[in-house]
Amino acid sequence: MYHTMNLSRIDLRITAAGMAIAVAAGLLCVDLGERPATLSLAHAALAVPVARGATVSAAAIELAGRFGLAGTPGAPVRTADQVTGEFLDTVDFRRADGRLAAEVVRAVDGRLVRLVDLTDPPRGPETPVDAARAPTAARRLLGASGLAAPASPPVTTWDAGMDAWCVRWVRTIDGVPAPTDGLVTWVRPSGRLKALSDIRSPLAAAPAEPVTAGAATLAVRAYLRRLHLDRMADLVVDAPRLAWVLPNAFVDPAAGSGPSTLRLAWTITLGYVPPGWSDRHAVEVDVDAATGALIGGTETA
Amino acid sequence: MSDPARPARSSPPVARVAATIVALVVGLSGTGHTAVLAATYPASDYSNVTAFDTCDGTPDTISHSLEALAQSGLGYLGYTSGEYATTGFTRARVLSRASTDQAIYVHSHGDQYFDPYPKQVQGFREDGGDCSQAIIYATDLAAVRPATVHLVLMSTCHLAEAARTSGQPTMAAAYGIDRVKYTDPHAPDDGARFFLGYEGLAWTADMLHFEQRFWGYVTTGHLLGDAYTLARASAAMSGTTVPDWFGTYDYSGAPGSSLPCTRCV
Repeated sequence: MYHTMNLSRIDLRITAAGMAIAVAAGLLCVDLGERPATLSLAHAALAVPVARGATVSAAAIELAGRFGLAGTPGAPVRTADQVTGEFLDTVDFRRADGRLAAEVVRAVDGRLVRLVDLTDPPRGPETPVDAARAPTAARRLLGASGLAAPASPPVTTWDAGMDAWCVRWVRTIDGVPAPTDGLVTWVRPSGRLKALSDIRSPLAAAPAEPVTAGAATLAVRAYLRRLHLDRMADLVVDAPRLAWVLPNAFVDPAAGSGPSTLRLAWTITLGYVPPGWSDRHAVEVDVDAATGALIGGTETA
Repeated sequence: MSDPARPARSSPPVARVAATIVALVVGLSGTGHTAVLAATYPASDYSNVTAFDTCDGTPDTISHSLEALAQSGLGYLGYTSGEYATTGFTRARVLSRASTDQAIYVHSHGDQYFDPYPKQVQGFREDGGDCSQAIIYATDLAAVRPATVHLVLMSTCHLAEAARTSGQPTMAAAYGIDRVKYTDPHAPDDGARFFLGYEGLAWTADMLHFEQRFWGYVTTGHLLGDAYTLARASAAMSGTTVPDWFGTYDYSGAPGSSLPCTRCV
């Protein structure tokens, strides 16, 4: 018996057959601690076993009560994260008019991954929260959710799109940052919670003997020569810095887009002026600390 | 608002269920429902592949991925979208199609370019298949765009920012979208209009993570404002890439009354 079995679709080019295969693959992985081979564009909802669903629902309702969230909870739905492939259980809360009010997301081990309040409550008489007060408010909200904020100071910025203060603790593993992961709390100016997110991508094992920073620089220099980037005007190659990164197809377009796992890497930032451009272009290249291979990167738009 | 593209909160349940079934069945067939919903709502999906590949010297797949996500999303919403990259993504084509497009997606370099110094005007670069890449300015687009632009997505740097030069239009304003967030469902809003862009420098890997989630929520029937908020909270992004939005939070994104919105009213 299952709580729900509904299919949603995001990519029109994923055929019904493809979806069926993806869902079947996902079902085989449910509760086995495995991840599907590739679901990068799919958002297939899977069944949540009844016993697990009851637990997920109860936890979501209890948490919603703690934060005074509005809405009626729906049945939990299990999906695979589009990037990491990790299975997540989501409970949506709906208002009386049917609109979404809140979303509570937990990992299959019960860890709180995300809590989002989609309502727009009127501002009360509370003392407005400013940038200086936002971290304290974030710690209070995280405490109420059961998540522990790190002792280190967060980075606080105003997030206009969320209409809230974004208080961010970048995840670190053995002192090395994972810039795309972290514990993020969006605090409304009233002090109420807008959203919190605890992104903890799966980790590959750290290498016993990482390649050296010098070897990483040599690998990137070879890449620059191969692509003739070493001829670019005003080329600057920054010093390597260790980071946990999600591999991608930036360096190797043939690389797959399957589920990603954080890998320890040396990240090297490049700056140069392409021919005919007046502005500098920034690029980051990631060198796997275990193998010395280039495993991804990014650039500014 | 009387605009038919707003979420039809008072439409008959049967009509909503029928629209949902059509969207689901056609979507699952893998062909897209634009063939069913007649080509009434033109849109354009532009991606500057050359800039991020040949011109800067690094190979690139992200431009293609972003373009494909947008194409799927626009199709899901009911637009008939042309897909343009390399020599197909030119300044002339953008301006020509801008007079009829009801939705536009652009992945390119964007900035507040000097036109001429010291005046700065928001714009983005064409692809054109080479690296000369003329700029399409907000002022150019404001002169030709129609009154009925519903959805504008600028997957570039800088184009969600306020104008640096007083009196110059922002890219949102160029398409007739107030640089205002209308979030109260019971108050007057901006109608069936929504703008998505980025502030400051945006990094392509972050943009892919965010837009993958944004379209994922849109195409599972979420309102655009909810899709933005949920994508922002769920995407693994560095803190330096900051998306922003303007327009009507509760807009579904659909141009017509046949909403694929299965999670809105």
